[in-house]
Amino acid sequence: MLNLLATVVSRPSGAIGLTLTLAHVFMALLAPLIAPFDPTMQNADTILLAPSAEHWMGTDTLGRDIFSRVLHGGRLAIAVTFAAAVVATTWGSFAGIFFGTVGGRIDEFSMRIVDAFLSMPWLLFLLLIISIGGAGPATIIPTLGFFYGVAVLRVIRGAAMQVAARDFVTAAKARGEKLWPILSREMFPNLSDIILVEGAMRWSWMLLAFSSLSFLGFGATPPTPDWGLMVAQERGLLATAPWAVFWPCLALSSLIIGINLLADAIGKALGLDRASAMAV
Amino acid sequence: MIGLILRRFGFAAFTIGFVSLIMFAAVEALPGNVCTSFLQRFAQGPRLERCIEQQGLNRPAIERYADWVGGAVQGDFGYSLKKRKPINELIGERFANTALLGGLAALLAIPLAVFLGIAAGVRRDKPLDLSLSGAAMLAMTIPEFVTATALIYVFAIVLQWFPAVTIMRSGMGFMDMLPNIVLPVLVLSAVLIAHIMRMMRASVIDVMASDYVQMARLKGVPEREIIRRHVVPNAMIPALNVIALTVAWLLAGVVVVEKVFNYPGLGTLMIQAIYDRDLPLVQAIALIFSVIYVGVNLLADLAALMIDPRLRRKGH
Amino acid sequence: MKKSLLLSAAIALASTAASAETLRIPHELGYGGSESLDPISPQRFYEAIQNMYSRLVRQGDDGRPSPDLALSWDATPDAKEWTFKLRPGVTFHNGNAFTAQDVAFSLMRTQSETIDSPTKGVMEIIDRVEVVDDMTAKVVLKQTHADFPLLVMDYRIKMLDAETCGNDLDALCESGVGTGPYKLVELDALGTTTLERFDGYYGGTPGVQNMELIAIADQNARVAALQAGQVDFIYALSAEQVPLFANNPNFTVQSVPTGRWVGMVMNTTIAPFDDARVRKAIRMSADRDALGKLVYGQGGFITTCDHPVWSGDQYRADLNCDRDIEGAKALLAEAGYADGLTVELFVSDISEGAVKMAEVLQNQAKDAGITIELVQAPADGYWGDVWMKEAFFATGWSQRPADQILNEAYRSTAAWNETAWNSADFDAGLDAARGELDFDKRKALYGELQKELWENGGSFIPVHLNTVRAFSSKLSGIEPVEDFSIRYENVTKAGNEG
Repeated sequence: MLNLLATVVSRPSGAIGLTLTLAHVFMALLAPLIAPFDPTMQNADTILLAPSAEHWMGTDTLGRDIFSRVLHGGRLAIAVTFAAAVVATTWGSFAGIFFGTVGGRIDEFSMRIVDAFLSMPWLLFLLLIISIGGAGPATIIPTLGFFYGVAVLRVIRGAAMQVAARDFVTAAKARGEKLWPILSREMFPNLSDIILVEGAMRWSWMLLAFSSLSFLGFGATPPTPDWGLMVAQERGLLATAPWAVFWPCLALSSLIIGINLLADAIGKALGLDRASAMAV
Repeated sequence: MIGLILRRFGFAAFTIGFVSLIMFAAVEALPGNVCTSFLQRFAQGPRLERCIEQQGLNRPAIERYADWVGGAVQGDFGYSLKKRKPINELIGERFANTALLGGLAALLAIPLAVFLGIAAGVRRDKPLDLSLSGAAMLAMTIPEFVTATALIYVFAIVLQWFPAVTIMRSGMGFMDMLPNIVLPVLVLSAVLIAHIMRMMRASVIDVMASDYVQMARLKGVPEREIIRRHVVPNAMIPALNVIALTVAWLLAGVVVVEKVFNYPGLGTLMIQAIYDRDLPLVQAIALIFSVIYVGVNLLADLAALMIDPRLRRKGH
Repeated sequence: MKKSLLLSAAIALASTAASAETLRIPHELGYGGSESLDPISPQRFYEAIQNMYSRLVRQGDDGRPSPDLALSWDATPDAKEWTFKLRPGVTFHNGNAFTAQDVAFSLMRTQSETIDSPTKGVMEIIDRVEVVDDMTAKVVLKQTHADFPLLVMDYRIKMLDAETCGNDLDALCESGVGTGPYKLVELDALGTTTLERFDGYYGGTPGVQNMELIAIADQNARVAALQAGQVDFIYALSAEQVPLFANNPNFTVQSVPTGRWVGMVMNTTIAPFDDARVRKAIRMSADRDALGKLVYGQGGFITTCDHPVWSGDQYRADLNCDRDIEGAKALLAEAGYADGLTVELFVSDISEGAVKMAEVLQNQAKDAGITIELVQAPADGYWGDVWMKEAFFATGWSQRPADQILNEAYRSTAAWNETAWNSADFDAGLDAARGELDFDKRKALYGELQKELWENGGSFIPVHLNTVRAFSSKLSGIEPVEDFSIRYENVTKAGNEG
C-alpha cells in the first residue's frame, strides 16, 4: 500500500491528483470549522459584492459569503456521489466477476440484458423515479448506483474473462473447487486494482452528473450550498458578477480533475491496461 | 459474414424489445395513470370513469402493451392528452432537431477527436500530448451549462455573431436553423471530443506497445508507415465501441444544452413529459433514445467488421 | 474585424429575422404548449389574447374604468342593472360587426360549468344580459354591485364574435377572432406565434406590422435573448438582472410600482395548513422589509400584510404585520408543534424572485422553528402541474382591483381560489361590500375582509412589487403602467440598420 502510494506520488500528475482530492475531502470535512461565515446567512447589505478582504470570493445575490459556500459546497455532492460510486462499483464488479468467470450461456444471455440496460436513457429513469420518490439521496444514490454499475459490470466482466482464462483459475476449476472460493480467492484479488481505478473514475463522472441534476432542479435544493446549484442559479450573472459563477465552478472542476489524475496515476502505478478500463 | 450481420441485427431488435418492456412495466408501476394526470383535481367519479373507458385503461396490461407495441412498430405512438396532439406530431420535428444537433456534433467531434487522439498517443508525454490531454480534461470537467453560458456571453451577447437562444419559426429550413445550432453543437462536441480523444489516445498507446509494432520497428518499417498500417486500424477497433457508448451517454448533455439554448428538442420534451406525467410520451421518447443508442452501437459493430477482417471469421 | 463566410451568413440570417416591422415578445410557456386562445380558458395565452381581443372597458390612467368597446355606461340607483352603450362601427377580424349580441354571448359564457373558467366565480354575479338594441346591452345583476365596471375591466373578459363561436356558451372558442389591434396568423405555442396588424382596428392603425410571441421557458434564456437582440421586450426582470441592461444605451429599463405580487400559498384544507394558527405563525415569522430588500432590492417593493389589495388601490386597508418570532412560536406550540414544524414548499422560476423569496422565507421561518424544504419544479408547465396541486407552493399575480382579486382568489367558489379558502362569512362579506352603495362604508367592509386574510388566510404575500421590464431602445410607446394596461398597439419600432 505504501509502495503504491510512493509510486503514485512519484509522478507529478499523481501528486497533483492526490493533493487535489485530499484537499477537497478535508475541505468538505472541516468546512463548518474553517468557513468564516454561515453559508446560509443572508444579508441585504452585502448583495453581489466583488471579492474583498472580508469576502474572499465575493458575495451572491442573497448577500451570502461565497467562500464559505464554496467550502461547504462539495459536502452533499461528494457524499451522495461517493455512496453511489460505492454502490455501483460493488454490485457492478461482483456481477462482472461472476459472469466473467462463469461464462457460457448464462454470461451470453446476461450480457444481452446488460446491453439493453446500457441503452436505456438513465437520466430519464432517474427523473421518473425522482418524480415519484422525490429528489434526495434516497432516490439518487440507488439510481445512479444502478445505472453506473451496469457500465462497471461491462468493464469488470471483460477483465474477469481474461483472468478466468489464466492457468491458476482453470486449474482451480479442474480441481472441482466451488464457484465462491474461486471468485473470492482467485478472481477478486487479481481484479481489485482495476476495480479500484474503475470506481474512482465513475465517482468523478458522477460528480459532474450530480451538478447537471442540480441545474435541472433534481439534485441539491436550496439552501444547501452546492457547487452545481450555485453555478446554476447565478449563471445569468456571468457578465456582471463573474465571481459568483467562477469559484464554485473551479471547485467542482478541480475535484473532478483531481480524482481523474489520481485514478490515472494509480492505474499506471499498477500497470493496468488503461484502454479497457476507460470503456466509459 | 451475412449471418454475423443478421445476428447483430437480431441482438439490436432484442434490446429494443427488452427496453420497451421495462419502460412499460416502470410506467405501469407508477402511481396514477394517463387519466389521473390529465384530469388532475377532476380525476374522480364519472369523469374519471369516462376517461378510463375512452383510453381503454380498464383492459389488462398485457393487452395494452401488445397494442402499444403494435402501434409503435408501425410508427404510431398514440395520443398525448396533455398536449392535445398526436405524439408522432409532437416528436417528429423535435426528433429532427435533436438528431440535427447530435448528428452535427458527432460528425464534427468524432473525426477530429480520432485525429487528435492519434496525434497525442503517438507523441505520448510530449508537449503536444500534454496540452491536448490537459485541454480535454478541462473540457470534460466543466459542466455543460457553464460552457454554454460562457459561449452565449462571448459569441451572442458581446460579438453578436450567433443567436443566444433558438427561436423556432414555422417554415424554417435547414439554412435557417444553422446559425441557431452553432453554439449548442460547439458545447456538445467539446465534451465528445474530450472523451473520445482520451480513449483514442489510450488505445493508440496500447497498440504502440504491442509486440507486432515492436516487431515492425525492428524490421525497420518507417514510423509513419507503422502508424498508418498498424497503429491506427488496431487502435480504432476498441475505440469504436467507446465512441458508440459516449455518443449514447451524451443524453444528459443534450438535455442540459437544450434547456440553456431554448432548443426545441427531445430532451426538453422529455423533461416536460416526465413532469406532466404524460406517460405515453415518456414511453415514446425512451424508446427513441434506446433505438438511437442501439443503432449507433450497431454502426460501430459494422464499422469494426469493415476495419478488421479477422473479426468476420472469429464471429464472437 | 475579419469574419468568415459562415459567420457573415449567420449574421445575415439573424438580421433578416429582426425586421423593424416585427415586435418580438417572449412568453414563458407556463402551460407547456396547451396555451389556449380562448380568453376565459384556464390556460389562456395571455400575451396573445391581450392583443387579439378588446374589453368593454379598460384601465384608465387613474386605474378606473375607461371606455374601450363600451363608450359609456350607467346604472340604476340600486346598482343592479348596468346599461352599456357600445362603440359603433367596430368590426371583428373576420368582418362581422360587433353588436350587443356579442356582449351578451361573451359575458354569459364566463359562467359555463363546462368551461369552468377562472372568471366564473367573479362573473356569477350576472343574472342575464338584455340586448336593448344593437349598440346597447343591459347587464342585470343578481345583487347590487356599485363597482361592476371594474369586473368587466378584467383582462380576460374580452368580447368574442358570437357567430364564430357558434353561439355555444359551453364550448371553448379558440378561433382567435376578436376586435383587437392584432389578428392571428399562426398559433404555435411551443414555437413562435405570429400576429399581424388588423387594419380595421377601431383605435387607429397599430404601430407595428407583425408581432411574434416566442416561447422561451427559461428566465436566463429570455434575458440572454434580449441581450443578443433576438427579442425586443421582456418583463418580470429580477433585481440582479437589472444591471445587465441599466446604463446601456441599447436598452430601456422601466420600473413601475404596481399591485403585482409573488407569494407563497398554503392550502387551507391540507394539514398542517388546515390550522389557522400554523398559517399565521408562518406569516408572522417573516420580516417583510428585509425580504423585500433581499429579493427585489431597495425601492423595488412596498410591503404588505398578506392582503392582496395594493397601496395604490382605493380600498386598501392599513394593517400592521411586524415580525413576531415569539408570537409565531406561541401559536405553533398552541397548534401542537412546540418542537418545530417541517413543511415542503414547491417553487419554480416562474415569476421574478419566486425561488429567492422561498429561500429567504425558509431562512426567516427557521427562527420560529419552522423548517421549510424547497422542491424545485420546472417553469414550463408549472401553472398546470404544480400550482394549486400541492399544499404549499409559489404563486404570482398581476395587479387587480380590490373587488376582483378578493372575489377571484378568495371566494369559496372561485376557480383560482388557490388557498382553498372556504368561509361562508367571507363570501357574505364580499356580497355585502359589493352591495354597499356608500363609498366609506364599502371601504370599511373591504377592509374587514383584508384583515381577515391577515388573521386567518392561507396566502403569504410579503410585498407588492415594482414590475420591472427591459426593452430595446428602438421601441417607443411603452407607457410606465402596470402590465395589463400596456397598449401594444401604440408601440412603434425604429428601423433596424443591421
